[in-house]
Amino acid sequence: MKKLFAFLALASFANIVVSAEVVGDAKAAVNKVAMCIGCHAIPGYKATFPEVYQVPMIGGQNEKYIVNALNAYKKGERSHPSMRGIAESMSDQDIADVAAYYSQQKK
Amino acid sequence: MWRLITRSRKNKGAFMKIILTLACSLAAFLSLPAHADKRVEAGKAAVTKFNCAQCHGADFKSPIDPAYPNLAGQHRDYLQHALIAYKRGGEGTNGRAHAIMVPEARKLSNQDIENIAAYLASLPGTLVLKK
Repeated sequence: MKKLFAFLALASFANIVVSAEVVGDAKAAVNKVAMCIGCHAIPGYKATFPEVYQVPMIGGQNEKYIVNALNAYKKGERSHPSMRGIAESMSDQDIADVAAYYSQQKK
Repeated sequence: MWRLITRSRKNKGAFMKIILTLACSLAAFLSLPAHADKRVEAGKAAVTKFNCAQCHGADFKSPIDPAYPNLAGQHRDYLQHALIAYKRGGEGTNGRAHAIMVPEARKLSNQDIENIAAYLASLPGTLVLKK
Protein backbone atom coordinates (compact mmCIF):
# COMPACT_ATOMS: atom_id res chain seq x y z
CA MET A 1 0.00 0.00 0.00
CA LYS A 2 2.78 2.40 0.97
CA LYS A 3 4.56 1.58 -2.25
CA LEU A 4 1.39 2.30 -4.21
CA PHE A 5 1.02 5.70 -2.55
CA ALA A 6 4.64 6.52 -3.28
CA PHE A 7 4.14 5.48 -6.87
CA LEU A 8 1.00 7.62 -7.20
CA ALA A 9 2.71 10.61 -5.63
CA LEU A 10 5.63 10.21 -8.01
CA ALA A 11 3.34 9.75 -10.98
CA SER A 12 1.36 12.89 -10.18
CA PHE A 13 4.59 14.83 -9.67
CA ALA A 14 5.88 13.64 -13.05
CA ASN A 15 2.57 14.72 -14.55
CA ILE A 16 2.95 18.24 -13.20
CA VAL A 17 6.50 18.44 -14.52
CA VAL A 18 5.39 17.29 -17.97
CA SER A 19 2.48 19.74 -18.18
CA ALA A 20 4.68 22.58 -16.94
CA GLU A 21 7.12 21.92 -19.77
CA VAL A 22 4.60 22.68 -22.49
CA VAL A 23 5.05 26.34 -23.33
CA GLY A 24 3.25 27.75 -26.31
CA ASP A 25 5.31 29.23 -29.13
CA ALA A 26 3.28 31.44 -31.48
CA LYS A 27 6.00 31.28 -34.17
CA ALA A 28 5.90 27.49 -34.19
CA ALA A 29 2.15 27.67 -34.76
CA VAL A 30 2.53 29.31 -38.18
CA ASN A 31 2.87 25.86 -39.73
CA LYS A 32 0.09 24.41 -37.58
CA VAL A 33 -2.85 26.74 -38.13
CA ALA A 34 -3.64 25.49 -41.66
CA MET A 35 -6.50 23.41 -40.25
CA CYS A 36 -7.85 26.37 -38.25
CA ILE A 37 -7.97 29.01 -40.96
CA GLY A 38 -10.19 26.92 -43.25
CA CYS A 39 -13.08 27.91 -40.99
CA HIS A 40 -11.93 30.48 -38.42
CA ALA A 41 -10.36 32.93 -40.89
CA ILE A 42 -13.36 33.11 -43.22
CA PRO A 43 -15.72 35.98 -42.35
CA GLY A 44 -19.24 34.67 -41.88
CA TYR A 45 -18.25 30.98 -42.05
CA LYS A 46 -20.96 28.89 -40.45
CA ALA A 47 -21.12 25.59 -38.60
CA THR A 48 -24.40 23.76 -39.04
CA PHE A 49 -24.62 21.09 -36.39
CA PRO A 50 -27.24 21.04 -34.97
CA GLU A 51 -27.75 24.81 -34.82
CA VAL A 52 -26.55 27.06 -37.63
CA TYR A 53 -24.09 29.61 -36.26
CA GLN A 54 -20.95 31.50 -37.19
CA VAL A 55 -17.82 29.80 -35.93
CA PRO A 56 -16.32 31.84 -33.07
CA MET A 57 -13.74 34.57 -33.40
CA ILE A 58 -10.67 33.11 -31.71
CA GLY A 59 -8.16 35.93 -32.31
CA GLY A 60 -7.52 37.76 -29.03
CA GLN A 61 -9.12 34.97 -26.99
CA ASN A 62 -7.46 34.05 -23.68
CA GLU A 63 -4.59 31.58 -24.16
CA LYS A 64 -5.55 29.30 -21.29
CA TYR A 65 -9.16 29.21 -22.42
CA ILE A 66 -8.12 28.08 -25.91
CA VAL A 67 -5.95 25.32 -24.38
CA ASN A 68 -8.87 24.20 -22.18
CA ALA A 69 -11.37 24.29 -25.05
CA LEU A 70 -9.12 22.22 -27.35
CA ASN A 71 -8.45 19.71 -24.57
CA ALA A 72 -12.20 19.49 -23.90
CA TYR A 73 -12.76 18.62 -27.58
CA LYS A 74 -9.88 16.13 -27.45
CA LYS A 75 -11.32 14.36 -24.40
CA GLY A 76 -14.85 14.46 -25.79
CA GLU A 77 -16.19 16.78 -23.09
CA ARG A 78 -17.21 19.00 -25.98
CA SER A 79 -18.76 16.79 -28.62
CA HIS A 80 -18.66 18.97 -31.75
CA PRO A 81 -17.65 16.37 -34.39
CA SER A 82 -15.24 18.37 -36.58
CA MET A 83 -13.55 20.11 -33.64
CA ARG A 84 -13.16 16.74 -31.91
CA GLY A 85 -11.47 15.31 -34.98
CA ILE A 86 -9.07 18.23 -35.23
CA ALA A 87 -8.24 18.40 -31.52
CA GLU A 88 -7.60 14.64 -31.40
CA SER A 89 -4.92 15.09 -34.05
CA MET A 90 -3.09 17.74 -31.97
CA SER A 91 -0.33 17.10 -29.44
CA ASP A 92 -0.13 19.08 -26.19
CA GLN A 93 2.62 21.15 -27.83
CA ASP A 94 0.47 21.83 -30.93
CA ILE A 95 -2.38 22.99 -28.68
CA ALA A 96 -0.08 25.27 -26.67
CA ASP A 97 1.44 26.78 -29.83
CA VAL A 98 -1.91 27.44 -31.50
CA ALA A 99 -3.30 28.97 -28.29
CA ALA A 100 -0.28 31.29 -28.05
CA TYR A 101 -0.69 32.25 -31.73
CA TYR A 102 -4.36 33.20 -31.53
CA SER A 103 -4.24 34.83 -28.10
CA GLN A 104 -1.56 37.24 -29.37
CA GLN A 105 -3.66 38.54 -32.28
CA LYS A 106 -4.83 42.11 -31.82
CA LYS A 107 -7.36 44.40 -33.46
CA MET B 1 -43.40 53.51 -60.24
CA TRP B 2 -45.70 56.55 -60.39
CA ARG B 3 -47.14 55.40 -63.68
CA LEU B 4 -47.83 52.04 -62.09
CA ILE B 5 -49.67 53.73 -59.24
CA THR B 6 -51.73 56.11 -61.43
CA ARG B 7 -52.58 53.35 -63.81
CA SER B 8 -53.61 51.08 -61.02
CA ARG B 9 -55.86 53.80 -59.60
CA LYS B 10 -58.37 52.65 -62.12
CA ASN B 11 -58.13 49.36 -60.37
CA LYS B 12 -58.61 50.14 -56.69
CA GLY B 13 -57.63 46.64 -55.57
CA ALA B 14 -54.21 46.72 -57.22
CA PHE B 15 -53.54 50.22 -55.86
CA MET B 16 -54.32 49.10 -52.33
CA LYS B 17 -52.06 46.12 -52.82
CA ILE B 18 -49.11 48.36 -53.70
CA ILE B 19 -49.75 50.65 -50.73
CA LEU B 20 -50.05 47.67 -48.40
CA THR B 21 -46.80 46.14 -49.68
CA LEU B 22 -44.98 49.43 -49.17
CA ALA B 23 -46.43 49.83 -45.67
CA CYS B 24 -45.49 46.27 -44.71
CA SER B 25 -41.91 46.56 -45.94
CA LEU B 26 -41.54 49.88 -44.08
CA ALA B 27 -42.92 48.29 -40.91
CA ALA B 28 -40.54 45.32 -41.25
CA PHE B 29 -37.62 47.67 -41.83
CA LEU B 30 -38.46 49.72 -38.74
CA SER B 31 -39.19 46.80 -36.43
CA LEU B 32 -35.90 44.93 -37.08
CA PRO B 33 -33.53 47.21 -35.13
CA ALA B 34 -36.20 47.78 -32.48
CA HIS B 35 -36.45 44.03 -31.95
CA ALA B 36 -32.65 43.73 -31.66
CA ASP B 37 -32.51 46.55 -29.10
CA LYS B 38 -35.16 44.84 -27.01
CA ARG B 39 -33.07 41.67 -26.81
CA VAL B 40 -29.95 43.65 -25.88
CA GLU B 41 -31.85 45.45 -23.10
CA ALA B 42 -33.35 42.19 -21.82
CA GLY B 43 -29.95 40.51 -22.05
CA LYS B 44 -28.38 43.23 -19.93
CA ALA B 45 -31.00 42.58 -17.25
CA ALA B 46 -30.45 38.81 -17.55
CA VAL B 47 -26.66 38.92 -17.05
CA THR B 48 -27.27 40.93 -13.87
CA LYS B 49 -29.92 38.48 -12.68
CA PHE B 50 -27.71 35.42 -13.30
CA ASN B 51 -24.47 37.03 -11.99
CA CYS B 52 -22.49 36.36 -15.21
CA ALA B 53 -20.08 39.24 -14.52
CA GLN B 54 -19.00 37.63 -11.24
CA CYS B 55 -16.72 35.33 -13.26
CA HIS B 56 -16.65 36.87 -16.74
CA GLY B 57 -15.88 40.46 -15.61
CA ALA B 58 -18.09 43.58 -15.70
CA ASP B 59 -16.99 44.39 -19.27
CA PHE B 60 -17.09 40.69 -20.28
CA LYS B 61 -13.52 40.85 -21.55
CA SER B 62 -11.62 40.69 -18.25
CA PRO B 63 -12.64 37.43 -16.54
CA ILE B 64 -11.47 36.66 -13.00
CA ASP B 65 -9.51 33.64 -14.29
CA PRO B 66 -7.56 33.57 -17.60
CA ALA B 67 -8.99 30.11 -18.18
CA TYR B 68 -12.39 31.76 -18.77
CA PRO B 69 -13.28 33.19 -22.17
CA ASN B 70 -13.36 36.71 -23.43
CA LEU B 71 -17.01 37.16 -24.51
CA ALA B 72 -17.52 40.84 -25.41
CA GLY B 73 -18.25 41.33 -29.10
CA GLN B 74 -18.22 37.59 -29.93
CA HIS B 75 -20.67 36.48 -32.67
CA ARG B 76 -24.23 36.51 -31.35
CA ASP B 77 -25.20 33.19 -32.93
CA TYR B 78 -22.06 31.44 -31.61
CA LEU B 79 -22.71 32.64 -28.04
CA GLN B 80 -26.28 31.41 -28.33
CA HIS B 81 -25.06 28.02 -29.57
CA ALA B 82 -22.44 27.73 -26.80
CA LEU B 83 -25.05 28.33 -24.07
CA ILE B 84 -27.42 25.81 -25.66
CA ALA B 85 -24.53 23.30 -25.87
CA TYR B 86 -23.81 23.75 -22.13
CA LYS B 87 -27.52 23.36 -21.42
CA ARG B 88 -27.50 20.03 -23.29
CA GLY B 89 -24.47 18.89 -21.27
CA GLY B 90 -21.81 16.34 -22.21
CA GLU B 91 -24.18 13.59 -23.33
CA GLY B 92 -26.18 15.62 -25.82
CA THR B 93 -25.57 15.99 -29.55
CA ASN B 94 -22.89 18.65 -29.90
CA GLY B 95 -23.09 19.34 -26.20
CA ARG B 96 -20.52 20.56 -23.70
CA ALA B 97 -19.71 19.09 -20.31
CA HIS B 98 -18.56 21.69 -17.79
CA ALA B 99 -18.69 21.68 -14.00
CA ILE B 100 -19.79 25.32 -13.75
CA MET B 101 -21.40 26.25 -17.06
CA VAL B 102 -23.78 23.28 -17.36
CA PRO B 103 -25.69 24.07 -14.13
CA GLU B 104 -25.55 27.80 -14.91
CA ALA B 105 -26.91 27.38 -18.45
CA ARG B 106 -29.68 25.10 -17.22
CA LYS B 107 -31.09 28.01 -15.18
CA LEU B 108 -31.66 29.93 -18.43
CA SER B 109 -34.74 29.81 -20.63
CA ASN B 110 -34.17 29.79 -24.39
CA GLN B 111 -35.36 33.40 -24.44
CA ASP B 112 -32.77 34.30 -21.73
CA ILE B 113 -30.08 32.68 -23.91
CA GLU B 114 -31.15 34.63 -26.98
CA ASN B 115 -31.16 37.89 -25.01
CA ILE B 116 -27.82 37.29 -23.27
CA ALA B 117 -26.16 36.39 -26.59
CA ALA B 118 -27.49 39.61 -28.17
CA TYR B 119 -26.25 41.71 -25.25
CA LEU B 120 -22.74 40.19 -25.14
CA ALA B 121 -22.37 40.50 -28.92
CA SER B 122 -23.31 44.19 -28.69
CA LEU B 123 -20.45 45.00 -26.28
CA PRO B 124 -17.18 46.51 -27.52
CA GLY B 125 -14.60 43.73 -27.58
CA THR B 126 -11.03 42.84 -28.47
CA LEU B 127 -11.71 39.61 -30.38
CA VAL B 128 -10.55 39.49 -34.00
CA LEU B 129 -10.99 37.35 -37.08
CA LYS B 130 -7.57 36.94 -38.70
CA LYS B 131 -5.43 34.30 -40.33
